Amino acid sequence: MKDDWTDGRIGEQLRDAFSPPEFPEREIRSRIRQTLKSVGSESDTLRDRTRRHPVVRTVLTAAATLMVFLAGSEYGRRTAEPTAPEAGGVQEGTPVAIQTSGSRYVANLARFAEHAPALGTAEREEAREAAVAILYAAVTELLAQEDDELLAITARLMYSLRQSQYGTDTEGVLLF
Amino acid sequence: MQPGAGFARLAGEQRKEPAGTAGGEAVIESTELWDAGLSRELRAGEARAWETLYDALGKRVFRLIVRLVSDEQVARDLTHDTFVAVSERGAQYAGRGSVEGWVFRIAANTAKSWLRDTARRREIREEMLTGTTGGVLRAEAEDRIVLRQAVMELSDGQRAVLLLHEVDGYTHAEIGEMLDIAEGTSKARLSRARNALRERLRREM
Repeated sequence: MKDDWTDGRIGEQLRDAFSPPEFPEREIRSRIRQTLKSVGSESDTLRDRTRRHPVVRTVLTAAATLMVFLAGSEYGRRTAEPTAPEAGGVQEGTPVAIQTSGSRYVANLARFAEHAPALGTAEREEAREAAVAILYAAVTELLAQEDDELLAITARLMYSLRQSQYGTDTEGVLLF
Repeated sequence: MQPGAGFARLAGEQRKEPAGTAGGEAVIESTELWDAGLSRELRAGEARAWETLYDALGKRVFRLIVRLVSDEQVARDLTHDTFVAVSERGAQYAGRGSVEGWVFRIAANTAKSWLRDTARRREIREEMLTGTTGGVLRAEAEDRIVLRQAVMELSDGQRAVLLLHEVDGYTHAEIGEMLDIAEGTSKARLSRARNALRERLRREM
């Protein structure tokens, strides 16, 4: 027996009501190029400079420690130890903005680094929020520098920030 | 070798468009997309490999994400993020399975992660129901409001399969590859979505 599906009526209504939007091909392509350029995918030199910057090193050491734990991956377990906060990544040279806005998060970092293998879902979410907060602080600090190179670094951090806000199981959440 | 040179042979393949669907973009079959040259470029970290993939898959990735998140502006951001990730993770591509499937899985996972923000998902759904979201919905006729509401009340998985199949014309095999689910799961979700819509429309219309 024919019904609304088999006679095509509902399908036609669906196509009318949910026709796909135009694909903004140029706009998205341009944004991708800008992001890749700013984050150093096409410039190893910029990427190296970014990695060496003390603010970036501190923040990324902290945040990457968390994010690899959050991913719960083999890679994360392998890299956790050398990037752990107690190895000096967080507690030495922590920028002022991060200290003032995130002392609680830094303390959490140490705790999570120590207990990462046993983290439950709620703790992982808490850790993710801590990483996001640290990234926010870093972006704020870097923006205040008004330096072209640091702005490029900031763009990278902002991208990482947005990625880290999506959730905890996207591969390569932090891209440094 | 130029990045993506092996893709030249892929041009010209046309998807069968569902009745009433505008478009006719060149779409590449999964079996043809797997390309040894591109695979090597990805794994070697060639800077422009992402662009070859964007040319071939960008539109389909964008539309897939639109179906998953039901928000055009968000879909723009997530399409951007997908291809940035493709560029960044090219070296991780293991060469197993199609390049196309790998890209779609990144896109679907990016969208799913975004959807886990339940507050934002609720907000989007309310916008959809009240018709304030731009782009995705075109029709505002009263007799379609019930249909729109019924579709938005489906689960995320059912709604995505329904729209990908009924509106975008994808087969269950293609949907399965895009969403990383079994073909049978896609069929089951479509069946449940149709039943739910049928029941709802029978009551309301």
